Amino acid sequence: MRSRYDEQLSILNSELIEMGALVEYAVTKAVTALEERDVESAREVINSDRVIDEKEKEIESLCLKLILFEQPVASDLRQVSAALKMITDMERVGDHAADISELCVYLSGDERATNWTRMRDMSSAATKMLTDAIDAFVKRDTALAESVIAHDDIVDDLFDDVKRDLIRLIREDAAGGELAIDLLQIAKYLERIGDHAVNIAEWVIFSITGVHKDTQVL
Amino acid sequence: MCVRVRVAGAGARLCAAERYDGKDGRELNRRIFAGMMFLTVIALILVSVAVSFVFYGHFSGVMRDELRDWIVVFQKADAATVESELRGVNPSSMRVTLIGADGTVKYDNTVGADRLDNHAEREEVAEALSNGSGESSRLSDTLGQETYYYAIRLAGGDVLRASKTRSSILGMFSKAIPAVVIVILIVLIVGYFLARNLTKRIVAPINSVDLKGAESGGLAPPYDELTPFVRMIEQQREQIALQFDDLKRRTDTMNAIMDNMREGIIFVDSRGMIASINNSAESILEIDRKAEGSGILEAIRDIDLLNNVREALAGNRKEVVKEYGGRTYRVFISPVAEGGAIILLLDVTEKAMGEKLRREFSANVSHELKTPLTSIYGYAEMLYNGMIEKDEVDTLLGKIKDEAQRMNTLIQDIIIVSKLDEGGAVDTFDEVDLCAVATEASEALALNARENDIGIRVSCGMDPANPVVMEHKGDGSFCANAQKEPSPLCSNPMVMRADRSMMYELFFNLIDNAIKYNKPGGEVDVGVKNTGGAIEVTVSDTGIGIPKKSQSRVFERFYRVDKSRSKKKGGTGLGLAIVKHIVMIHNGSVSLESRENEGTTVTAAFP
Repeated sequence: MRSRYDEQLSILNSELIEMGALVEYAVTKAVTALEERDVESAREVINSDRVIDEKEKEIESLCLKLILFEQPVASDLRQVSAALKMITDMERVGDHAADISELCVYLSGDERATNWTRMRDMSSAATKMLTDAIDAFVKRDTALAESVIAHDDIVDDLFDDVKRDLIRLIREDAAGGELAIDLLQIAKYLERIGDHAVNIAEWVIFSITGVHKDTQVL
Repeated sequence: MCVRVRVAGAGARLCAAERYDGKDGRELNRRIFAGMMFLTVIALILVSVAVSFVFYGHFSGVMRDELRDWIVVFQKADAATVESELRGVNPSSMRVTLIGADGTVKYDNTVGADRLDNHAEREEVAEALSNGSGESSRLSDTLGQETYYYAIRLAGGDVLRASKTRSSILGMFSKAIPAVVIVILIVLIVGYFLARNLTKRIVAPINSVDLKGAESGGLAPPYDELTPFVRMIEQQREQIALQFDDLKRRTDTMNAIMDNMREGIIFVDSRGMIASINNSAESILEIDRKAEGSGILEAIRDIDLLNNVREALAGNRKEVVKEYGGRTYRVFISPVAEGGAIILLLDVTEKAMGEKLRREFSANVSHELKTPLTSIYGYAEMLYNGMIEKDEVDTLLGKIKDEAQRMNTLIQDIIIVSKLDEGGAVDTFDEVDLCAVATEASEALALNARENDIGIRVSCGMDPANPVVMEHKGDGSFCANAQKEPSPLCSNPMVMRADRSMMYELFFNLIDNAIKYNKPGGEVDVGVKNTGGAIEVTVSDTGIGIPKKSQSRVFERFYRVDKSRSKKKGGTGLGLAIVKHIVMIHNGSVSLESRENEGTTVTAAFP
């Protein structure tokens, strides 16, 4: 009886990792597509969002089934409830990846957007946060999760830098205003991805220690 | 699930054996109990029956004697005395009847005499009448009662009969039944505990047989009856040990093979979990913890690989190229018939690099060949269209000749490079005097050097501090008499096993470069010396030098520091690449030292 339960818990674990990997892959691909103006990849990312959404529903129903039929307690309950929260964040990250890709398709005809250095810094910082958050979950590593949370400031600072750059762009060339706003949106999405990575990291810490944002929840 | 420990001390040594459910009456406890009960009940019944018979016989005898003793007193007495005496007999202790000689009942102390019929026919009466005494016994109407009669003929001719009723054998037995039942109940209760205790005591030595500690001198059977059983266990254990060793040897071999192979191998079970992974795979995929038993994604965060493994688990063989840690791997994912899949990682970095190089080389060659051809075509077209003034035709033709010459050189170099690419054939190696080759090459380039106002010095010798120096006099006759009369150079050869034509090519290219990229009035020093074990070749010039950032790239094919200058000088960009290849084929090493505007020294060392 319990062995089935253990098996379901381990399925939940690997499903979460898979969803994490899917999201990570989507973000990386979206950012690469953006840099390389690869409309094909961008469309693939937009399509893959549906897979991520399905995965979310799948994990959600698995969690609810576990709670309903097996009444998990202690660390198991933490794992299940953390999973329920994490998938929401992961799904949002997937949405942002799709949003970036949509803008990428839209921007593909525009030859002006050339200075990607800061944007690239930002995207690699955000992707690293996401990767580390999922790594922290896979390896059950609270220290890594903590480092993800600390890393958020870097992404926030980079966002401010990008914003300043874009303001300068608008000031120098008013015609580039539309482009600047699109780029700002992309930067905002990346910043949000960083925030979601922080959320995921917090839930990873919770699932290991029972402490969420310095409050003993369970 | 071995929670129930039945026998203290047996512990959890054999969990599966201790599990029992008591069904089918196969418990030893029950069997012993049943046997005990069966024996007890049978014994009790038999004893009761036997005792009944014994007592019955005894009581019968005693009663008969009593009746006889009592009745014999009346034998001589007259009728009146008898009758008065009979009236005093208590009917509950004995029944007495006085019967006339004709059989009519005269008196009976139990029933009224008038109510009894003629007794002459009764067995004991008839006997008494004829023999003087008679006896008989009859079962009464009520079950389990038997009446014993004894009669004698009195002196008066009458017959006196006395009788007593007692339990029959059946009656006696039936009276014993409650007692027997009680005894059986007691035995049942006592037997239950006894059987349990007995079982424990029988089983305890069996369970406490130390199966593990039996390596020294075999198992000791707790009961002699168990000897065959214990021997069988021993035999089985030996067999298991043998099979286990065999299995272990095989797994060890397999593991040794897996861990020592360069290719990464991963076994995935039917659920997509890693069943086994070898060292190479772990280092290739940079897995820093135990991956066995975890999911693919937990160990390798590659969603594409996971999808491929899933395809393989569904029965489709997959083959992909992936990059891990900066190296290229060909990944084969094959389904296994028993369920699961095998992932094989082959390092194809070199092959991929080679392919890339080849592609680049072809592209470069095409480009390099196209450039002079375009010029030739352009000039030729101009001439053909008559667009050129008469006096310029010669210049143009000269240009065409130069370009064609350049193409020729280029093609020659490409042929050499292609040949070198195939690798040096060691069987063409011969004893080669490097000094002679160096001299030959510098001789061939002497004219060229003179045209550019550059002097060449070739120094050869065992002792670097005191080299045998032959100076180029600037008239091209340098070492011209080397073959005719033995010079100090030729008597002191630097001989090594090498391909002579390749070595010539090496010197030619190095000296050619040294001349090409020199300054007017510059010097080229060619040195061959034996540094004890290794022959070192140095070619240094006093030329323009190579910028620091380009120094690491000059050995690449078609790399040129200054494209326009090189072109003017007729360089192909292959010279140093050829040198590098030749040195590599001869297991040597090549290095370059250069300062801008001061000169360059190329050193090749052959061990």
